[in-house]
Amino acid sequence: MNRTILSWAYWTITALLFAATVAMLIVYTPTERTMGPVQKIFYLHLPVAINTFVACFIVFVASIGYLWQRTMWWDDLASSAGKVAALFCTVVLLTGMIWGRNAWGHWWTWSPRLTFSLVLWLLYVVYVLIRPSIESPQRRAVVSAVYGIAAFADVPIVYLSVKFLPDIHPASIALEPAMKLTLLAWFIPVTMLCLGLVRARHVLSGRQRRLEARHRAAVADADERILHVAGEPA
Amino acid sequence: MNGEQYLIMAYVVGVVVLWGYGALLWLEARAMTRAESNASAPAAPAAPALEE
Repeated sequence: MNRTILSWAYWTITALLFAATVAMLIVYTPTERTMGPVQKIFYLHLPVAINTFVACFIVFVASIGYLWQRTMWWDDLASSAGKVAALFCTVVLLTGMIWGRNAWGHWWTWSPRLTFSLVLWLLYVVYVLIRPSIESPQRRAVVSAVYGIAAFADVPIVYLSVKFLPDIHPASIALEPAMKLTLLAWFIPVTMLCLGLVRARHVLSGRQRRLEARHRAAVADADERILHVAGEPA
Repeated sequence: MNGEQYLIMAYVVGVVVLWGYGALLWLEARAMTRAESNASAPAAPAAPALEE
């Protein structure tokens, strides 16, 4: 019961903070002179991008955790964070494309940052899609863990590409104090949302696993009873 | 389309995708609670048809 109340409180606070930051964006944050209102996409785009890296890092750590301890708790955590990473990366790409359409005049360009971000998205979408195709839970966990560790290699490439390769993507943007405050404020609900979704997915995976185990035990028990009854002399 | 419309499009996409996934998880949790309560309900007597 306490957990339910805590969970409701967490999600209510996250939603309220989300609404507050949207209101802040409308009434408080100044409009940038060169780009105009479309620059405000940045306040969602950057926190979601950083939280994509956070989710990818959770997959990385949980994958190491699984290979180290071989418990399904780690595999469930990696799987949950992988789904959230793919979801957040989708939002990063979509919001970036919408901004690019207005700022550059086209939806997509094959710049290093965008290309490596697309690779990151593909890596985690494949991670999510490939898991159900492996039948054995242990084999699935091992393959996913190795993949999850390898896929993380793209995260520093995405982050550093804009610094070391010629790129159309902005490397840094000078912000006024009010803009910096808005950006910092946006990090709070987006990070809470990211961690909350990973946690919610992880809890659900654990419950699903226990329910399946109970179901398998019940089926095995029923089979045994049927065999017992069928084997009895008439 | 002007800058404001692109801005609204980006935030609508962001909110719908992120919170939409949250809503799906919530629905899944509700379905799971129902499945758990069904699983803990007392089982019916085993294979009565075979006994007949």
